[in-house]
Formats: sequence, structure tokens, C-alpha cells
Amino acid sequence: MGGGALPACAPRFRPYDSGIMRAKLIVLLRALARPTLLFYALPWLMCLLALGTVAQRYIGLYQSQNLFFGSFLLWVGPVPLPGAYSLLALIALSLLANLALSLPFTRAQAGIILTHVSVVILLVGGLMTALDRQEGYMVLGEGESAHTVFDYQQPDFVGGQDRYSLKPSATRELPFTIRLKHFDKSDYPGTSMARSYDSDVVVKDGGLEWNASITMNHPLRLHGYTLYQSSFIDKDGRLLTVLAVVKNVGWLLPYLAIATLCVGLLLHLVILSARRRA
Amino acid sequence: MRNAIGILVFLLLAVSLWTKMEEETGGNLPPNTPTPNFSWQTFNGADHRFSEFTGRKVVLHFWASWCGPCRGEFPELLKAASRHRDIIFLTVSCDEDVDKAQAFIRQAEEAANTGHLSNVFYAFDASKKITFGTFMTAQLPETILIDSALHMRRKIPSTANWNKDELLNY
Amino acid sequence: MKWLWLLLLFPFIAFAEEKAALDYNDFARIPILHEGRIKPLDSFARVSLKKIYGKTSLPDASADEWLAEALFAPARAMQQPIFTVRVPLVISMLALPSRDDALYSFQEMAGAFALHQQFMAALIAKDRKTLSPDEQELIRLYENINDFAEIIGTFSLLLPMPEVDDAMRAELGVSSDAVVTYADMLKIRHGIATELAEVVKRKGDRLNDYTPHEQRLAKASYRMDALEAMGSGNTLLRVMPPAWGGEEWLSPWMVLEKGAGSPASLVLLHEWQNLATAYNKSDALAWKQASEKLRMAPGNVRPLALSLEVAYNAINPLGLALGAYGLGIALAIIGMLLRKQIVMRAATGVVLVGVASHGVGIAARMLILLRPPVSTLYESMIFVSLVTAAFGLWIERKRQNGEGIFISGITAGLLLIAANVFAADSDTLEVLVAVLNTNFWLATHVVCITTGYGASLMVGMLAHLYLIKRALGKNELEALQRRMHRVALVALLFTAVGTMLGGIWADQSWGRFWGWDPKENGALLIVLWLIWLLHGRIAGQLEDLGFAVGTALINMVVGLAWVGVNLLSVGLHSYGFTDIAANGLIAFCVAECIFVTVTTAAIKLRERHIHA
Repeated sequence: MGGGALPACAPRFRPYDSGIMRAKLIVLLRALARPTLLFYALPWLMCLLALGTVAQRYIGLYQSQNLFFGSFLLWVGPVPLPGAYSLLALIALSLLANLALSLPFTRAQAGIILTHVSVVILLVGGLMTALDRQEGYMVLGEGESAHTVFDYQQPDFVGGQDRYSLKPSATRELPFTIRLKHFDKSDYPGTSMARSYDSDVVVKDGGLEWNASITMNHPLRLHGYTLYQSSFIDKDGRLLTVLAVVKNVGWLLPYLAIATLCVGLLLHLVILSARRRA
Repeated sequence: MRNAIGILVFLLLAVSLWTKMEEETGGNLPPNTPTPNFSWQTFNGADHRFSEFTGRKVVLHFWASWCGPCRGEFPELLKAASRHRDIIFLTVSCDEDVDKAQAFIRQAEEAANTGHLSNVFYAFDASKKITFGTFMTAQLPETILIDSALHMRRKIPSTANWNKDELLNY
Repeated sequence: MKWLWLLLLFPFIAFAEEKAALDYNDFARIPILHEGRIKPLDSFARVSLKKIYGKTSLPDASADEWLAEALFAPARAMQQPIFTVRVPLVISMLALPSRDDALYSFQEMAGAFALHQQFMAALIAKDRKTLSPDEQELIRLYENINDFAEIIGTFSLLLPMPEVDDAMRAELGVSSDAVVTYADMLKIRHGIATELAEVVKRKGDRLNDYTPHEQRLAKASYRMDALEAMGSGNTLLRVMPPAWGGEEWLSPWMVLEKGAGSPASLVLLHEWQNLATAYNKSDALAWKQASEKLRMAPGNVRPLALSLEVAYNAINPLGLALGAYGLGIALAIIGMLLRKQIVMRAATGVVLVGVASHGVGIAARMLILLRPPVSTLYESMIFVSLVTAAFGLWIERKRQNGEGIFISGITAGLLLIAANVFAADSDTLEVLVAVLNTNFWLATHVVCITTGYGASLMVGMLAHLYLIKRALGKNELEALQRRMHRVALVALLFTAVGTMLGGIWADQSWGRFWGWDPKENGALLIVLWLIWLLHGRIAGQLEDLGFAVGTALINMVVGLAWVGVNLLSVGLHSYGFTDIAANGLIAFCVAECIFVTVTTAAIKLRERHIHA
């Protein structure tokens, strides 16, 4: 058989040699986990935050959001700069690398580890929201029912916070129907300042019907959708309720993140004080 | 740092308790006001006191012959009175002219065609002592719905829709 | 322009000139519905006087005394020079006589504005933001005049009518010397109208052809019409509780107009009349009796809260706290210069009293409004002020060298002053817009994050201290660096948790955890800044000086995140817009940058010297 077999004792390079792969991986992880990465990524992220916030006044929330916070690259003329998504991805990877390199975790690190894990959870939640979240609205007058949600395209605020016209793009069908029984806008007595908005609705889901109340700070959750009391429209004296309908698969993650954060910080403190006593 | 955590936990607990407290308290009590026991006179001069109606629901209605909307409303009130014989209708006229008031009443009774109703009473209050001096009624017509304990329950500060039966189910 | 009627109606009603010593204790606590909540008359008086005059009391009268005069002796009140004109140009625009103190009476102001009715109407129709400063001042004065007119017209239905003659009195069934008011005349309103109609039919409408009685009839009718015209739209003094259910308190005129009268409201009006009579006769006993009855009338839902608010207004615990902080700073400086421990202890004691007063003030506000403490921009500022003062005491407890007092006193004091600037003329105890209604997440979020802001300001001030000390050549700053590190961690804890709680609240209310709202971005900025500082310190990229500079700059970041975003007037968090704030913020940032640059340069110079 011609030229293939090498002497058995000579070292071979095998591309899938786990030891070398592992070494390369560790080099990569170390590079990602270097503190300088965070040290330079954070100021740039803060810059984007500041610029994006100021820009909102001039180019509007939606535009500045897309430009500064919703992109991987930010083009300044011909020069591409990292956008928010890139930075957050980088930070997330750096965190994960740090966590991986800290394996196996010691008890002393438990608090810090959990705290950093919570940040990862938060970022993952943000990613899921960015990818999957659907938001729309429903406008109902008293006695009207609907099961169609209009997606926000670009909200046009006309007149002020309470009254706005929206340019709908797509529509989606909900697996249930909402009928508005009564909308109540109660003002502070003697003023025209709104104190609370209340939508008294009847939910029709399959064969079942039941009453529900959607008010400010108290949404209705059903079948993965959440309905919020968003606002109202005054159409020549007749009040129409505006309900925001949101479907966000990752909605639970921020709650999980904050719980983890609290546990992590408390744990860290307990560990610190135990160490101080020892 | 430990103190800080302690303070944070305390603040959160205190605030959460507070919001619980605010959500549970509050709310308005319904008015449960006794009607003043005024004395009134019929067109013939006979004296009465309001407390004589204890145990019966009373509809207290203020009118005058020169009040335009009263003209259209009074016959409807009489028809409602004939449908609800258990409710007392005490109608108070603040006319200064007895004849004009009585003419008004006759016309209304003809229009209503209910005949003499034993649950309808006519009070004559030229001095406005009852109308304004007790109830501060400055515009006519006005109706006050009073329950059988003689507590005032609701005021209708303009013409009432006597055809609606829910009006008198209070 | 209904107040024009007042100029015609009131001048010839004469009243006694002396003001007796009346007890305003009960009067102050009479409830009134104003700007959406029930408050004591005292608060209404102070807020109104502040808007018109600029302060909550006159040189020779308290706000309550001023209000009583306006309500019960309108003719006199109209002539008091209390309207402050803030823009000198406006004085000449209105052709007012120039005065040193720029104070004018209602009569002068109303007269001046009467000549420019069309101009004012056009001005009001425009968008406020497009107006020049003097135009805005004109509108402000105009609104003040309207408010004052409503105040003095409140009880016009209880004022004596001079056109009443014996014939009318006979109709009313009162004696020939009894005082007859509009409210009394209502009883014979219809009779008068009918009689007058006949007179006009017979004699035409020339007053000279009438008999004296008929002339009185005409004048009485005219006056009643005028009073009614003025009364409709008189909605400011809502002191009559709802008699027929609901929550809307009404002004006396509204009660008549809406047909909301009841036996109870009649009783109340009689008491107000007694009060007015007692005022004008300087009858201290009758005054006390009437005001007590009014204070304890049914409809007074929380009398303790009203008493508390009156006490809060009078004692002004936040003002006391500010004074205490100022005194504490002074004592701390003296103590540091003289190196006397006892002076230092006195400073700590004074600041402690200040913090106690400050805390009591905030607690009182919570009890008055029945809501958690940090719901408006003003409240967030006074809360952060308390947090920094408390932190300063805590730091002082450790070191006891006056530094804690000094830095916290300055920060807390400046914040209180800034809060007062923001409060300007409005009632700081205000109601909230719908979305800010009490909710567990919201309440915990704002309390947490403002505590975080306070902690951030504290660590910033510690860094300032560090830079100053190092620039002055002091060594032994490791302890200070360690303290900065620890306080920075505390700040990070509160701001991070607070920001996340805010996200949760937003999710509960609007369906999104994070919306890149300016206020959200601002909070995140502070969190990121702290993370960056701490990680830089731990990993070594930031040395002591770098850490200190970064931390010192956090004050600027907090200022921008907290106040700056409000000025952008975008998004769900904007409370209001003010020019003073913008200029103040810019000045603050510039000052901070200069401070950091100068101290760093001084340090570098000094230490280069050492190294060389």
C-alpha cells in the first residue's frame, strides 16, 4: 500500500484531538473573558445610550431605537462601528466565558457566579424579546367585540399622550374574543386629569365566557398573550378603550433574572461576612 | 454592605405593606341623610308635618305654575303616581298666586286623566320656606326621592322621566 | 373677563376698617377640594398667595388672613397691592405706574387688563411654548387675576344687596333692618322679574320714569343678573361637600347652578354667612364658633390629615432640615479648622436633628397623601436628599472627622434647594397621573432607585473629597479608597435592583420590560457606569486616581439621568419642562468637569514633582 502508514510511535496531528481542541477553546475563552473587553465595551455602550436618548427628541423614539439600540453595526459615514446588539452579544459571550473558566465553581464564588448568571438570563431574555415579541393593539367601543389585533407600525402621536393615531400594518387573529362591556375613565374630582382607566370586558374563549377587568397596572394574561389598558380615544364624546396586546415568549426571564440577582447578591454578602469573621 | 442589604429589604417590605394598606382602605359611604321634618300647608291652609309619612316612600317634587318644563312633566308625574299607589307624592308649589297654582293643578289632572289620587298631596309654599329655606331648591323642577325611613336617597335636579319604572325602584 | 363686574359691584360696599385678632386655627383646617384632592384652606391660601404674590405670607398677614379678607371683605382685598409683576417690560406694556416693589392691586391690574381684552384673548389662544417671556408673564398675571376674581366672588351670593327696599323686605318676610343677600332674594326672584316685566311694558326702560320702588326693582334685578353672570364659572373654592353622592365638591355658586342644594348645604351656607358677618364685625367669639362648625361639618373625611397638613405647612420640616444642614456644615468647618472634637459632635447633632426633621417631613407627606414617598420629581429630590444626609451621618459615625457631615450636608442641602426651585409656584402635595397610581412594583422601584441615586451621589462626593485631599498632598487615603469601593457596591446594589424593578413595573403596565425610555436609559447609564468603575478597579485598569476621577464624575451622570431626561420631554417619564433646570444642570456639569480637571491637574503636578 503506498505512502500512508506512518510509524505508530510518531505523534500525529488529528484535527479532532480533544486535548488540543480543548486548549484552543480555553485560549478563545480566555480572550473573551479578558477584563479589557468589558472595560472598552461598556463606555461605548454608554455612549450609544446617551446619544440614542438625546436623538429621541429629534428623530423620534422608533427611529432612534432602531438606529442606536437595535442594530449590530452603526455606520458613521463609511466607517462601521459596533452597534448595541454587537456589544451586548460580546458582553454576554464574555460573561459566559468567565463562567466557563471559573468551573468548577467554589463555594466562595457562589454569590458572584449567581449574580453574573442573572445578567446572562437578562440578556437572553432581551434576545428572545428582540427576536420574537409581538405587540399590537385593539380599539373597542362599549358593546363591541374583537379578536383581531393590529400591529404597531409607527405610532403617530397627535395632540398628546392620550390621543394618537396609529398606522397599522399587519393584523393577527387571537384565539379568543374580547367584548367591552364598559369603559370607565375616572378623573380626580373637580379636575380633568385622569385618575384611572378601567375596561370591563367579557372574554369568550372556546365555549367559556367570563368577566374580566383590565386596568392600569393590572393586565389580563391569557394563552400566552397579555392585554394591557393602554389608553383611550375620545371620538366626539364616545370613549373607546385602547388595549395593548403583547405576546412575548421570554416574558418570564426578567423576573427570573431579578430573583437570581437578589439571591446572588445576598449570598455574596453572607459569604463575605462569613469570611470576615473567619 | 450588610447594612445596605438590610435597609433595602426593610424598605421593600415597608413599601409593600403600605401599598397593601392603601388598596384595601378607602371608598365612599352612600348618603344616608334623614329628611328634615318640615311643616307644610295644603292650599286650604291645613297644617301637616312631614313625619306623618313615616313608613311610606315619598317623592318630594318642587314646581311652580310659571315653570315651563313643569307643565309638561306634571301629568306624567300623576300617571306614575297612579301606577305606584304605595308611594306618597308630595308636590310643593312655590307659587305666590294661589289661583294660578290651582289652575295649573286642574289642567294637569285633566291631562293625566287619573282622577283623584289619594297618594298625591299638594303643598303651598309661597314664602319658599320649604323650597329654598329648607331644601335650597333654586331651580325648578326638582324631585327628591325619599325612602320609607324618610331618608333622602337621590335628587333629580331637573325634569324626571316618570315613564321609567326603575326611577321609583329605589 | 367676568371680573370686570366686580369693579362695578363691590366698590361701594363699605366695611369696617379694623382687623381684630381672630383665631385662624379652625379656619385653616376647613376642607376644600382643589387640584383633585381634599386639602385644608391653609394650603389653598398659601398656594394661591404664592402664585400671586410670590411668598406664602404677606409682610403683615398670614395666607389665611389674606384669604379671609378676600372672601369676606372683597372691596378691601381688591385694593391691596399683592400682584407681583416679575418682568419689568410688562409694567410699561400695561401702562401701570412704576414702583420699587412692583406690587399692584387687583383693581389696578384688572383695570389695566380691561383695556387689552382682545389682545389677551389672542394671546391665550396661542401655544404657551411659542410665547416670549413677557407674553408668558402677561398670561401668568392674567390667570392670577382670574383666580383672584373667583376667590373674591366666592361668597358674593351671601353679600348684602343694597337695592332692597321695604316692599321687598315685606315680601321676604324679614324686618326692615335685616340684611338681605342674593341668596335671600332668590326666593322672590320670579316675583321681581314678573313685576319688572310689567313696569317695563308700561313705562319703557328709562329709569327716570320709574318710581323709587320701581327703580330699586330694576337695580336689584340688574344686580342679581350681574352676580349670576359672575357666579357661573366660579368654581375655584369647592368647599361644599357633595350632598347627593359622588366625590366632586362644589363651590357655593355651583351648588345653586347645578341644583345640588340640600338641607345640609343650606346649613353650611348659613355658617359661612355667620363667618363672614363675624369677620366684618370683628366678633372673635362668633368667628370661632362658625369656623369650628365649618371645620367639623360632615363631609370632612380625614380631619387628622387636614390638621397634619396645616402643621406641615406651618412648621415646614424640610425648611428646618435645610437650615440644620447649613448650620451643620458651618459647624463642621469650624470644628475642622479649630480641631475641636466638641464642635464636631455639635455638628453631628445638628445634622441628626435635621435628618429627623427631614424624615418626619417625608413621613407626614406620606400620611397626608396616603401614598409611598417618591411619586413626583419634587418628592424624588427630597427623598434622595434624605438618603444622602443619612449616608453622611453613617460615614461620620465611622470617621468622626467632619468629612461625612460636610459632604452630606452640601449634597443634601443643594438637593433641597434644587427641589424648591422645581416646585416653584405649585402645590408640592399634588395628585398623580393615572399610570403612576400606587402599585407594589412602582413603589418599590422608585424607593429603591432613588436610594441608589443617593448612594451614587454619596460615593461621588467621597471621590470629590479624595481628589481634594490628594491635591492638597494628604497621604493615608487607602481607607478612603476602600470606603469608596464599598459605597460604590452599595450604590450598584440599589440602582441595579431598582432598575430591574422598574422593568418589571413597566412589564405590568405597558407590556414591555424595557423600552429605551430616557429615564430607563438614564438609570441604566448609572448602573453601567458603576459596573465599569468597579470592574476596572478589580481588574486593575483603573488605579486609585482613575477610580476616583470616574467616581467623582458620577454626580454628573446622576444629574443627567435624573433631571436631564426630564428636560428632553420625551417618553413616559417626563414630568415637566423648565428652563431654570436646564441652565442649572449645564452649569452643574461644567462645574463638575472643571473641578475634576483642576484637581487632577494639581495632583499630577504635585506627584510628578515627587517622582522627579
